[in-house]
Amino acid sequence: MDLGLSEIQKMLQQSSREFLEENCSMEFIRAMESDPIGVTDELWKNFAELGWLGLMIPEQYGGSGFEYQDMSILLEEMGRVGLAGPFFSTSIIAVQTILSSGNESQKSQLLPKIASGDLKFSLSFFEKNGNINPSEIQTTTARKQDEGWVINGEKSFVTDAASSDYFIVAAKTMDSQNQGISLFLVPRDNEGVEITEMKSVGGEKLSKVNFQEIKIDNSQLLSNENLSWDVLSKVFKLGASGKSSEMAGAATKILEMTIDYVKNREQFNRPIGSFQAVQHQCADMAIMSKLCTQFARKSAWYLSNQEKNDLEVHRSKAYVSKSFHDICQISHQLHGAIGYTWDYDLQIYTRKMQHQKLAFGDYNYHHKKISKLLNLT
Amino acid sequence: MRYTFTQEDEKFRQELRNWIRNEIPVNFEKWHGVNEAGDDFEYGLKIRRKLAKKGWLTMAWPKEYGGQGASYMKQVIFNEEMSYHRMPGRDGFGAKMLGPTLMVHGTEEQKKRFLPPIANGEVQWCQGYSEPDSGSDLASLKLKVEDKKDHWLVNGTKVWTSMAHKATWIFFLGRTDPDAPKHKGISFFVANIEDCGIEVQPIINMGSEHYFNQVIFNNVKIPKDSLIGELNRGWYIAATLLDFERSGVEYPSSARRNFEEIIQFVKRNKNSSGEPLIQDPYINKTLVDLDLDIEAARLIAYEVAYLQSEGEVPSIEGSVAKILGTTLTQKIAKIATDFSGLYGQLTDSSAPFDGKYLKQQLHVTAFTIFAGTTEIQKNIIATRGLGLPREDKLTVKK
Repeated sequence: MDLGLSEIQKMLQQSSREFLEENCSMEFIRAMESDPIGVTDELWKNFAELGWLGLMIPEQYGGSGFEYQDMSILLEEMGRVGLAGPFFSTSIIAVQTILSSGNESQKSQLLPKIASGDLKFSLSFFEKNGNINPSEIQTTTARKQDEGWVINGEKSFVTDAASSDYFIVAAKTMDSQNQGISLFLVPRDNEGVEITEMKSVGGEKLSKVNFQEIKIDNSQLLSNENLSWDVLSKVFKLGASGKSSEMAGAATKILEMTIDYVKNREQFNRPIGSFQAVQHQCADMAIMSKLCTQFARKSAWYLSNQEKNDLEVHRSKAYVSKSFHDICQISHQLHGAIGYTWDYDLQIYTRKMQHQKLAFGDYNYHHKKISKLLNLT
Repeated sequence: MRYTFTQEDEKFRQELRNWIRNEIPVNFEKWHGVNEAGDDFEYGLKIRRKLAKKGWLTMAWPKEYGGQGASYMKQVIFNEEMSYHRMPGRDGFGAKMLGPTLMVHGTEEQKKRFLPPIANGEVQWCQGYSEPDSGSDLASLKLKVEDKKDHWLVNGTKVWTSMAHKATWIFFLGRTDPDAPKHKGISFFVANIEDCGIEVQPIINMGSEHYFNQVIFNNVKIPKDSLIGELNRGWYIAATLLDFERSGVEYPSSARRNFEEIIQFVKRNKNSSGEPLIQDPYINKTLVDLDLDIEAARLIAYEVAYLQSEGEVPSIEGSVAKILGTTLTQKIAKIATDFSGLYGQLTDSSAPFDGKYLKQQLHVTAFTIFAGTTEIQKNIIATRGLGLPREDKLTVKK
């Protein structure tokens, strides 16, 4: 049992905190909310130089060869400054998908370009209903034609579509309830791709993407035909754990903001932080925030080190999704009216929370998974 | 990071678990533990002596005092397994509190006299801290101890003294300087209850149990060598940060065992509407939330032990562990009785688990109160942990 960070993780934590605090001010985060991409070219180049884009990519493919558990520490820091943007879609979700399902030539062609910052990816999985379930993929299908495939269908909740060079599209390739899903690489510029924005409250770039008679060749089949659900369910676990880490980082930041505020805000000739009614709510926040970090780190560690990791991931996303919302709410309560204003930074975290707690499975989704794993059904 | 125990630790867990399962007189599934404060006191002592022989009772003690200097994680495992298996025999007052205090503050003679019986599992101690007018504000205690040259004269009352009715010895805090500031006039003493004529009166709790007592010192004379450490330094001696695991891991660990037992019950029984409990969505949600609560308390307990093993003094983690662990015991008892329908009110053998969880529900009401209430723990988190100003120390601007 070693609940501390490794030396490398400590260095990553410190260097990323310094870099992000300097380069991702609240002013910048606000600007990125209305930016169609959510990141500047300069920042993306910096990420590449820092080795973050290829953090999880093995060295043989031009990456830094870190493990997901190390990435989770960086995600805490990104959550801390409230950074959204295409990093998550490309450097976690796409990297993991390609690593788990790509063939050698796909890996050696694509991964180095992700690490260098030349390619961005986006996973197109969800459909209109927004459910995480293989059987929900119905409308997007791919059929064999000549030496390749033709894809048709509409995806929803596609993150960072506008900035992606490629979509990784989950399409039905066999008539089966829970299987028969294959993954395809579709260039965004491909004829027949149509992107429509879905407006998310926290500046997350979400879109509907329509694929109409998309013709691609066999080399763009990313996985073993029909067998992609296993890959996807693994990728979704990283997504769930990763969002937990972002929320844990944000929770720590919000706690700090709140403590600072109640120490300085005076009413009745004393700091409001001297009132026990306020103190106990701060204590509640501190408890939950600590647990968010512990649950998130535990799930990250399990993902990197243990074959059986489902339960820990579900526990993490269920706990953190629920508690982080509570933390935001308490923080607003203690900030009083000022925290409710657009100009005050607290609300940025609160709006972003709405995406984070729902992405890759909400509290209810993970709750049900835990129930199954504990044989409660 | 590593969220599993080492192989060596797991080997110890297995050895301990085998021993425990062998020691339990009935099938493990049917074992509900015993009442160490009542009829089963002697049985608890018997197990305690066996633990002593195994070297486990005082495994946390330094080697020079006959312990093993066991790591914090090994202590965590010991407490996890003992709690999970509802085993009696641990010695919170002697081995965990007084022993280490003596090692730091006792004279050579005091150590020779008191440590071996504790290490051998032969003696029951109790702790005299709270008084009728001193609960959360413990430092306001009034029990009067006067220096009468050849003895100390003690007058006053201690209350909520757990196990005093079974103990032969008591360690207690008394006021030795009524004029000094409240923390600076307190001293730490030990006394033999029967030999000194200390009166112990039972207090029966709302679950009809006899755990704690009122302890009355009426012109009690105790020998001069009963003072532990320096005069008037008792508050600080009692607060000595003992270098022992105190993670509170016993709460989530016994909760996990109860949780498993409750699931078995849920699978076999129906709710008040006559539907199988297992198909009731409310019950499903409650149980999964409970699983999260257990894991939360366990994670914090591990964090406390981890910080200690790194040589750090846990700041808010100890308080967090106490709040989460004790709240958890109340939730689990409530859930178990809620699931029992009308039978949830019965104390006889027709109740599920012979009414065990109802008894527990009444019993654990004390858990968020003793050893620093939840409110006091939150004050500690807010003031010591988060650096918020203490209300009682505040100078209000005019």
